Parts: sequence; C-alpha cells; structure tokens
Amino acid sequence: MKRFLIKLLHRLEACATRLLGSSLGGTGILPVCPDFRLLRHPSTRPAGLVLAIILFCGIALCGFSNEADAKSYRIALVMKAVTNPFFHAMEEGAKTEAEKLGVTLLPASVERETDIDRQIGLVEDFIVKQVDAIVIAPASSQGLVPVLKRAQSEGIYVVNIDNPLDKDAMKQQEFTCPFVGSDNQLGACIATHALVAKMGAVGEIAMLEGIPGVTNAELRKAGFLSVIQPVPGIKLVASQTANWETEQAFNVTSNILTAHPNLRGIFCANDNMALGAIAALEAGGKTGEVAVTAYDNLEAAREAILEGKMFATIEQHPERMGAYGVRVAKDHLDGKPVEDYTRTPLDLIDYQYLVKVMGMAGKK
Amino acid sequence: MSLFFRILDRLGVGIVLLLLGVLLAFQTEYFLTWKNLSNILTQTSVTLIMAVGMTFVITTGEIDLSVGSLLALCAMVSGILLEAGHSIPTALGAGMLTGAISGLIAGGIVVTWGLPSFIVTLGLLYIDRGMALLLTDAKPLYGFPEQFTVIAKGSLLGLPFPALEALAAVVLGQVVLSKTAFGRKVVAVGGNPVAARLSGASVGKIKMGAFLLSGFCAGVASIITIARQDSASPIVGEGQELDVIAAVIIGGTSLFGGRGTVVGTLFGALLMGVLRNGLTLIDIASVWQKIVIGCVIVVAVLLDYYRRKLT
Repeated sequence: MKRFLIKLLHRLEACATRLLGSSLGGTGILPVCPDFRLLRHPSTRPAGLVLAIILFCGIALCGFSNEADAKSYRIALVMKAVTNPFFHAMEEGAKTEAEKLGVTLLPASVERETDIDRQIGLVEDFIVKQVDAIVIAPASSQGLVPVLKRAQSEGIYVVNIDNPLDKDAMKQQEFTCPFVGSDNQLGACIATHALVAKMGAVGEIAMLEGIPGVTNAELRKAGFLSVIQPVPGIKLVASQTANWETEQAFNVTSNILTAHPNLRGIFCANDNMALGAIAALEAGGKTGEVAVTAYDNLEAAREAILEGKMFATIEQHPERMGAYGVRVAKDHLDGKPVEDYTRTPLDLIDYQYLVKVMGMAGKK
Repeated sequence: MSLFFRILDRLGVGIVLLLLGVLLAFQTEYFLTWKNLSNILTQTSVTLIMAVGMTFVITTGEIDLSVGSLLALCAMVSGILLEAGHSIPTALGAGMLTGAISGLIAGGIVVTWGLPSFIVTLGLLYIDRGMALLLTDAKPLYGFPEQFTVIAKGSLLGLPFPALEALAAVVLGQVVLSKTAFGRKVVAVGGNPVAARLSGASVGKIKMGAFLLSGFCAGVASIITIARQDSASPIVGEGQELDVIAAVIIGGTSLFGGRGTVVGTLFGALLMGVLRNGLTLIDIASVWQKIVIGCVIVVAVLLDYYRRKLT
C-alpha cells in the first residue's frame, strides 16, 4: 500500500511536471518545495502539523454551535461595522424582538464602514444558506442593490433598515423592498437647529460628513445645509468627510481648526466622528469654545455630553430599527401586509434631557 | 508516519485546503453545494486576479502595496468613461491601461533609482487612492449599461463569469510563469539577481515587467468589482493589498523571491475564501477569521524560512 501510494505520487508529479514545466525543480501542479529532506528536519515537522491542527480544532469546536430548530423562520441581520456601538444596539433590539416572535436571528457584520465587497459576500452566503429573510443596513446605497435583487429573486424577503438604498439604483434594477428607519434629513435639521441656537445664530460652523454618496450621509448633509443657509450670521467654513470613522475625524478636525481658529460649531454626521472631533478640540485646547452636535446617541457621546465636551446628539433608536425590521420580515413571511416605510422616532439628546429625563448624574 | 509527512509536504497548502473543505462539509450542509463553491470562487475572484500579478512581483523579490488603491483608481476611470457614454471595451480598456501605467511607474522608479519597492508602492498607494477620490470628488458612480452587468451576472457552464475570469487569469499566469522565458527569468531574478544578470537577463526590465503585470491585473480585477456592485466606488479595495499578499504567501511563494507558483496562489486565495465563507456559514464572527488567517500566514512564512535554510 505504501509503495503504491509513493508510486502514485511520483506518477502524478511526473505528469504535472510535463504539463506545467519544471521551473521550480519539479514542482508541478502541487506547490511547496520539492525537497523531501525538509520533512526529515525536526524543526519543520511541527509547522505543517500545527497548522492543520489549529484549523481542524478551531473549526471543529466552533462548528458545534449550529443553528437552532428548523421550524422557525430564519432571518439574517446584515449590518455595517461591528466596531460601531450603534450596530450593537441594533443587534440587541433585533435579538429581543426575534426571541419575542419566535424566529431565529442570524446576525452578521463587517469590520469597517467601507467593506462593501465583504457585505456583498455576506449576503451571498446567506442566499446559499437559504434564509427566509434578510434585514440589511447597507454599507453602500448603490453597491448592494444587485446582490439584494438576486436574493429577492431566489425567494428571500429583503428589508432595508437604517441607511436607505438608492432609489434610482433600485428603479434601474426593478427592485423594491420596505424601509425601516428614521428621517435622516429631519434628524440633521433638529440637531443643526439646536447647534445654531446654542451658537446664538452667529459664527463660523463646520461639518464632518459621512461616506459620500451613501444616502443617509447625503440626507444628513442636506438637512444641515437647509438649516444654516437662511441664517445670515452663520458662516460655513468647512465641510469634509471622515467616512464615519473616529480617527479620521480627529485628523480632519485638527486641520479645520488650524485653518479656522475662530470656529464655533461643528455638526458631525455621526457620534463616532464627533468623538474624534472632541478629542481634537481637547488637544487644541478648544473644549467649551466649540459646540459639537452629532447623531446616534452612543454611550460615549452621552458621557461626553454630561462632561460638557459635546452639546447634543440625535437618538434614532437603532434597537427599534433592528426590532421593527425583524417584525416587518416576520409579518410578511406570515402573509400579513406590511408598510413600505416604517418610521423610527427621533429624539434630541442634550444635557437637559440626560439629567432631567434620563436621570443621569451631570458632571459639568 | 514518514509517508504521512511526505504527503503533507508534497501537497502543502492544497492538503490543508482539502482538510478544511472536508471539515466544513461535515459541519454544515450548505458548504459542499455547487452554488456555495462557485460563490467562494466568485468572492475571491478580485483578490485572486490581483494575486496572480502579485505572484510575479513577489517572485522577483519585490512587493507592490498599491494594488488596493489602484483597483479603486481603475474602477473610477472605467466608471467615468461608462457614464460618459463610451463603449464598454473603451471604458474597460482605459481602466486596464491605467493599471498598467501605474505598474510601469512603480517599476520604473524602483528600477531606475534602486529604491525599495515597499516605499515606492506605499507612496503610490496614497497617490492612487487620492486620485481615485479626486476624480469624482469622492462620490460613487452608478447606473451602468445593461450589457455591462452581464460580466457579473452571466455564467457559463454553471460558473459565474467572475469565477471563470479568475480561473483564466490563474491558468494564463501559471503558463507564463512556468513555460515562458520571461517567467523563468522572473524566478531567476528573484533567486539570484547577480547570476541572472550574468546569464543574460536584464534584471531591470524583468522587474518592470512584473510590476506592469501587477498593475494590469489590478485593472482587470477592477472590472469585476464594478460589475458586481453595479457602481464604481472610490473606497473599494481599502486594505485589499494585504489580502492579495497573504494569498500569494500562503500559496507558497517566498517573500524573499526566487520561488513561486501561480497555482499555489490559487490555493492560498481559496484557503482564505473558504475560511471566510465557511466560518460565516457556521455562524462564526468575522473576527475569528482574521485570527486564523493571521496564524496561517505566520506558519507559511516559517515553513518558507526553514525551506530556505535547508537549500
């Protein structure tokens, strides 16, 4: 048997060598070194074995936690960045609702807000798993439409939450689905009104934008602009993107501050960027001089507001987006009619709100 | 026992891939379906095509960090031309040409001044990304002609076009690397540049050729990216150069140059793709995928180190 296998190996190798050339001393189809001596060397034997063992054990162990009972609906929840607490809240809300409704939730997310390709891959994997519905907060309003259309044509129900898919792209692909989310433009308006009021309707203002071209980023920008344009005393000195990320926001804000030392207000399209902005303000010794409002109501943002580093944020209830998304999916799967647009409420969260309504301890 | 080790060494990454596949097939019923397997190939197609070009660069002993950004730049160039109403071949050709030009620039600087390719291509990483963002002021383009999206949606013999294109790239790449004079010179230059020069190979020209290929492959890969998303986005490919390099290294190509196969790269890319896909299918968070892939890379480089020590 042993000899047969060795002979077979030699035969295969000879074949391969003839087919593909011997530029590497005999390595044909099969890669890696042709030198058997390597394996006799004690130091290399463990390496390949260790590799195989790691992978084997890892997958074997993890694979034991497989899906629950097959009778309940399986609803996938595809989110954006796992690094943004906003999506943790969304997942929690969805999980609670899923338990209540008796459906199986399969959450998945990508690492960065810009991982569009990876998100497409996730949707494709869920198509293979033949889930009953996909609830998705897309990283790109245009880029996800083709794969979601494919999911729909395979009989999977799609619900769009948080960031709206682009209407033109959807029309072009003849794809429709219900939307669950807040009115991003209105939310930005509310936040900007509060900011302008705080600034006394006078002074230089800047904006940190989300990823350009993404619908909720564009809507928030539009809301911001619509509020400041009619106000004569407010001057927009900078409007730059930090792609929803904290670190980028730090750098962008530092640069804006250097160019415009008289800046008095910043509107950030999300809290993650605001956290970077206030860190830049602190580094520049400008805390308290520049009012910052943002969007998402992250815990870190609430802390910052209580400490007086930030002025206000918008709560758009991601946990409700997750929950309503799951509910809309389940209703449709049960054969009930669903709304095209399910609104999630918006609240302005500032110091007063936190202390009086939420009963938190002020630290100012 | 020694037979076991001999087989393990012979097949290398291939056998790890096989083991992994078998394991996943038992863990979830969806893994071994034709659809899933073709999905894996489609999802890795972009990385794989770029990795084919990267194999040449790494085999000459250099490295190209700019491919991720170049992907975006080529995508934006093609996207702009498509939007402006130019024909599909013109637009795609322009994208591939952009890739080739960037590759030539990288190779030219490295060869003319003898600068480390790490730094030169790092600079190009920023330049290409900046230019991609500049072209449309960071806005993505979408709404391409119907015939164009066939590239992503169409399929032949059950395999989607992106997968077929990736396989074609692998076959072409392997043939060029192992059967053409250029390919042999690429290996020679990486293994021993002095000896290569003395035996008649122009080291500079070979290296430039490798960089040209790498850039061109990024251009080809950008076509698939825009087709799959039906939009050209300037933020695609961020960090993808690392995936591409990982695929090449895991596949057995030596980071120090002088040894490399495109088929090995295929296995390396597939291994990463199978890991990502498999772990998602059994509901494991993506963070574990990164840890496993990282371990695999380190082990691959260790193996290569000892291999070099012995020969």
